[in-house]
Amino acid sequence: MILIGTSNGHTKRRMTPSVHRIADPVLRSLDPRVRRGVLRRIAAMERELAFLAEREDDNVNFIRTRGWSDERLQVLFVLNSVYQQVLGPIQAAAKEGPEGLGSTIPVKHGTASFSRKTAGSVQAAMKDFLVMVDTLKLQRSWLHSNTCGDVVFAVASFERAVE
Amino acid sequence: MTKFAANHQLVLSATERQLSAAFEIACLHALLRFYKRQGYTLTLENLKANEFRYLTSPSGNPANFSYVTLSGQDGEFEVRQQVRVESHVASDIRFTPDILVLLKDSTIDAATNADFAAGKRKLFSVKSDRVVAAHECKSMNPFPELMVSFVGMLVTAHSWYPNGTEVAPASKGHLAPTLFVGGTARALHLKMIAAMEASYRLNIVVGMHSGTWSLKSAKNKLLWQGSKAAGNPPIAGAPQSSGNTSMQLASPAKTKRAKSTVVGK
Repeated sequence: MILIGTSNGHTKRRMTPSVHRIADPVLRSLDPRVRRGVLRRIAAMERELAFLAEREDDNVNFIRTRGWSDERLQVLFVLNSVYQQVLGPIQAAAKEGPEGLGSTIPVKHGTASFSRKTAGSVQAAMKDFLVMVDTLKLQRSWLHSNTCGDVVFAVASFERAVE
Repeated sequence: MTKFAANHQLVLSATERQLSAAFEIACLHALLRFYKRQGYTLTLENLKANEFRYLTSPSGNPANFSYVTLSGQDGEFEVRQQVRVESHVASDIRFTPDILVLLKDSTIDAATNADFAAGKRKLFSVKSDRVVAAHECKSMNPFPELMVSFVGMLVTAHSWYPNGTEVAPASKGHLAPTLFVGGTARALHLKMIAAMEASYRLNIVVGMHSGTWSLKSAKNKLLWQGSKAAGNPPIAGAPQSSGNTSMQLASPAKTKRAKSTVVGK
């Protein structure tokens, strides 16, 4: 495990080099303030995982016997956080409103514009993101979990069901 | 991940403000779809160059931004964003819900106040007796304090709450004041939400990020009954507060409407 400082110097995250290598391109693409929020969330999930492991949590112990390494969970934390903090909200706005709102009639919000074109880009990003989730053999529903405890519980429930 | 990041740089680089705007817009769309399903006729008003100009801050003059009018059996209304409410509790209590459903043509006061921007900018606000429902959008995980704090908005932004006769519970009609939350809730919080919805005339819709945009879980609905007193005449021939009849108008009003009155400009 390594400690990596973030640009604001306040939040530190534990991420193994392999996870860091995987996550870095996406994290680098984020707006700096958004990235800080995402990193804080990932760090909180990692701290919770460490706490659960130290407490010998049944679900953590169980999923480890099913091949879930800390690295794999960390990848899930990264994807979950990017989904919750970035793709979830922006995907929501890509859903067309009634009377052509957000499609034929663009919504202008400050400097941002939400139109059919924007919606297309967001939907394409979302589609590729979900393909990535599927390729990693992760369940899409795990993206909706709020905390590490929720993620671990969801993964353990899934593993128990397929056992 | 590298390929994904390279292909979708533009989407991923959205700023915090854009993300928050996106969630708010999505909530507005969900609310408007809800109204459509309830039988109201929607008209987009005050478009600028065929764009819906979204008011992003209470500092902006609402007259310069777009809004939506609703026509239903219980009258005509406006859906606006970021309009400051002056509470009936005390006139110094002012705050800005994310989305407001107001009686149509509600007066939006534009006052000069030495305590606001040193009196250099107008303080726009609408009185809470014109508010049918104030909605709040939170793109975050639900937690008990967030949910309980919404009761404050219910009490402060709605002069009809708790015992006013201006509104009546209905199986179809307006969405009661609603807290839209992006994150999903745990079982304990879901029980709390159910208890709050049973105790107060409000809705808390969680899990918007995971796709609860239909608002089907929102149980509390209401019809406006204070039309005469509030100067908002009901549509002629429409049934009053039956709660079960269709609210689709025979001839939806499509005419261009006047902007809400902004006084003191």
